[in-house]
Amino acid sequence: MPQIKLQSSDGETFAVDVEIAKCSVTIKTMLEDLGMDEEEEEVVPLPNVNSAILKKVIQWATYHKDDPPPPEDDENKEKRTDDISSWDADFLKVDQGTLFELILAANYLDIKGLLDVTCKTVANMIKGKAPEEIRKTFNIKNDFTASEEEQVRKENEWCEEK
Amino acid sequence: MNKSKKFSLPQSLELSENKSSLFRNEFENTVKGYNRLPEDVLLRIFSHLNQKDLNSVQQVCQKWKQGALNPSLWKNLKFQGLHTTESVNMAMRKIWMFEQLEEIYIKDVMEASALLRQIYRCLPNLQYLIIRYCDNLSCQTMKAVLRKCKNLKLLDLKGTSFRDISFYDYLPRLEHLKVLNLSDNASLTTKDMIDISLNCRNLEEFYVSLLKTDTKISS
Repeated sequence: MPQIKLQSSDGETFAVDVEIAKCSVTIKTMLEDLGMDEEEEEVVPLPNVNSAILKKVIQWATYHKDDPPPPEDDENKEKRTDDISSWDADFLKVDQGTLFELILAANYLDIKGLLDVTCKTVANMIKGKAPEEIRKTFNIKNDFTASEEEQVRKENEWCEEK
Repeated sequence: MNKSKKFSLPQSLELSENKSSLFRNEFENTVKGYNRLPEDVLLRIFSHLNQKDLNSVQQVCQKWKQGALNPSLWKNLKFQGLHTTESVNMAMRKIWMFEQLEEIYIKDVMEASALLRQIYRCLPNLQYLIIRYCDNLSCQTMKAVLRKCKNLKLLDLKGTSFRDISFYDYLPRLEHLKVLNLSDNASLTTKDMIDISLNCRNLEEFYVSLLKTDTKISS
């Protein structure tokens, strides 16, 4: 099976089956655009992805290589977050920083399946939490002034569950 | 590779400070990056949240607030237990902000007529309207809703009845109406029910309560 080499931001190269690499629409488009000859040992630089994250992405793509193409986004379809496979759930048992980097990598490499499952994981971590708990979970700084905070809180009071 | 343009530099990089603080900032940005997710990724995450969670998210930080107020995330809204003029005003503002709303649920709201007026002004494409146990609704206002919101597929007025029974004659105007609930409508007569079943041509489900239980009349 033909392979290509992917180079991470910190210079490490990974040899990957072309078919697996092509689950990234960004890489697929690039290979087609540049007409890269699969016979040549091309190196594709990925300046936005470090080696630790790239390793994870390749691991994910390899496991999911035979998946059917993900369905198009349908606005009217009910959004579910309880349909994460157990393999993906295990795969995503990582620290916040890694999860964040994986989302950015999936977005940059345009891997819809990985983007979906990482976004769902983050959504699940938000669900049912109070604003302060959410900030703590994701280590987000509260950048509201006291009066702004009061204003936002007021605006949302009316829909609190009674 | 246009995609790479999405990666802008962190906004709060303090360039005036010395190099060590620059590195520290870079480190913090990796850890605290969640408030810097690209807008489309943020929306993708938020699209999985319900109204209550979206409200919590607005209170997290400026960027998340901005993201959570994107009208595409707001397809349905539930108004319950609004007892002050201020809260009703807030609710009216939300209806105005979220023009893509498809479903509205109103229960136990002080000035439900004011909300309804805002609904027919702002949401001509509303599809699902549920108004439970709201007494003192103006019949004229409700008729205006039926005139303006022509695409209603579901109308649920359980416990919300109108003394002016001419309201029920208005229902057949809703050409797309498929589901109607008039349970606990004290003023509804058997003749009204028959008229509605005959005249609402696309009605598929019609609920009225008899003997305290909801009964489905097939049409």
